[in-house]
Amino acid sequence: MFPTSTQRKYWTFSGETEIQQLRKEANERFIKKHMGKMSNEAKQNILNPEEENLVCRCLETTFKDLSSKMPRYATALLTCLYVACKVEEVNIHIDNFVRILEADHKKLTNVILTFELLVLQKLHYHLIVHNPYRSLEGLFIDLKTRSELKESAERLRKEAENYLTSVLLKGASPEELKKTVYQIKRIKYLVKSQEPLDNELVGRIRKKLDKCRNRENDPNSEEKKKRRLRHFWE
Amino acid sequence: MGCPLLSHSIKYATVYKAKDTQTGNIVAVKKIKVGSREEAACGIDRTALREIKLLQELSHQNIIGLLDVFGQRSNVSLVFDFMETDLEIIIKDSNIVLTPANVKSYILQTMEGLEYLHTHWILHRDLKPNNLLINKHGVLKLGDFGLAKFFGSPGRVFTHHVVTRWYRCPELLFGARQYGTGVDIWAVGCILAELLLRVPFLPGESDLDQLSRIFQALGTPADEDWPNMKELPDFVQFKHFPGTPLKEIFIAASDDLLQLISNCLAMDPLHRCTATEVRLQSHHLNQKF
Repeated sequence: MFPTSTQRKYWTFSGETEIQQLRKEANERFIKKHMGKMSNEAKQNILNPEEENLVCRCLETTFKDLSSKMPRYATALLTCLYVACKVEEVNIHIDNFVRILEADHKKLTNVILTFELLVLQKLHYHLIVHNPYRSLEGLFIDLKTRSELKESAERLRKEAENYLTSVLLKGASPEELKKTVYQIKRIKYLVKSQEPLDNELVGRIRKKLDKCRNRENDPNSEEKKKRRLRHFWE
Repeated sequence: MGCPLLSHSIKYATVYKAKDTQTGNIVAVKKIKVGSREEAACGIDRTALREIKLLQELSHQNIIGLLDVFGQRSNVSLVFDFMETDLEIIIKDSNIVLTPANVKSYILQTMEGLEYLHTHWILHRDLKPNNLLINKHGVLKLGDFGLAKFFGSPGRVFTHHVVTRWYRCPELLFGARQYGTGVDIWAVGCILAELLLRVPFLPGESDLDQLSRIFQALGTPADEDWPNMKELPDFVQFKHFPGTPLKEIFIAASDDLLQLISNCLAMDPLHRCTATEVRLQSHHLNQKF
């Protein structure tokens, strides 16, 4: 199913250069579109692609520790996580979802529900991410449904998962293997070549980000509160 | 946008016939209703997301095409191929004569779509004539993926509250929490029977009545017919019904068609045909009854 998937078609890129180019273009498009409406202060503080990328990397680190206090711009991240739970059918009520976080729960609920549709739109409603472990799970269910292997099937799990991991790396033909190794090396290189986050720089960009934010999307603004309230009663 | 198409009005959504102003194409827009305040409080409807998620990845002549999605706040609307009618309307319309060739065509198209789903690890879980949509060219497409699910979804027990009762297989009625493609194949068997009878084959009034009707028609299974039956969570012993030979229920049907129905309606899900087998058998159906 992967070859025909939206993941393959729209979200698989040729390499780092392509992604960089796309990020640059997206940044330029955004500036072009919103420049006219911006205050002078905001204009001066607008982020360049590199700075944007840094913000993304900050979010990645935030993602690893949800119990820590969230920076304000991490709400998009939390919305993504909420949507992901829903899509994967891990049914968590929004009240329980926000409860685990150290934040103003009511406010966070409002923010998440406001951004939910936006996140989906930005993903072009492509919601499935493939991995071979999912197919393995299907095989287990099939084994349990169709045969008498009920309990013993579960005992195969660990080995099967290990096998999958190893076959992903070794099971291919020499050419494929070479390609795989090359890709992994490239990923490793990408990861290694990332410089550690410069806290001073992060702080500076955060300040810039605060200044060039679109007030309309600010969940704390009066305008947004009114809109949410209206929505609730409709 | 016109008025709601009543026939397609589903529990949680209203379907509108609409015109794409850019292409001039007629499409169907399924607007998801915002449910209770409790549901609305959780944001975008889960069923709608499920349908979007799966249909975005599927592309087949006999699967309904999801053309677009748009939303406003927490309300989402799904844009589909426009389908003029569905198999329920056709079956109920006594002015329409269904020839053996018609029956073969409908069942073959259903199976083409279902085989595609099953090979992509997806169970439809709500097959019934009402969800087999048909356009003016006679093309049949499987619709309504609100209950569809990957059968590779990890770690979670499936609910047995799926499939509209009349098309629900015995293992689901006995509360099975782990099941497979057989649930869809059983439903196909019931649909095939309904195409011949022109009324629902097993219209049970309750879950117990459903089982009782199944066994009256097809015979109460003995232990050797279905070895694991008694281990199912909601198993109850039914009195012994001998069953009625299919030949007496479907008096006009050819032998190969009867065989196909009986293969789809095997009590033990392990003995039920696969989608590929049903498709191949329907491909070879004699077009005379």
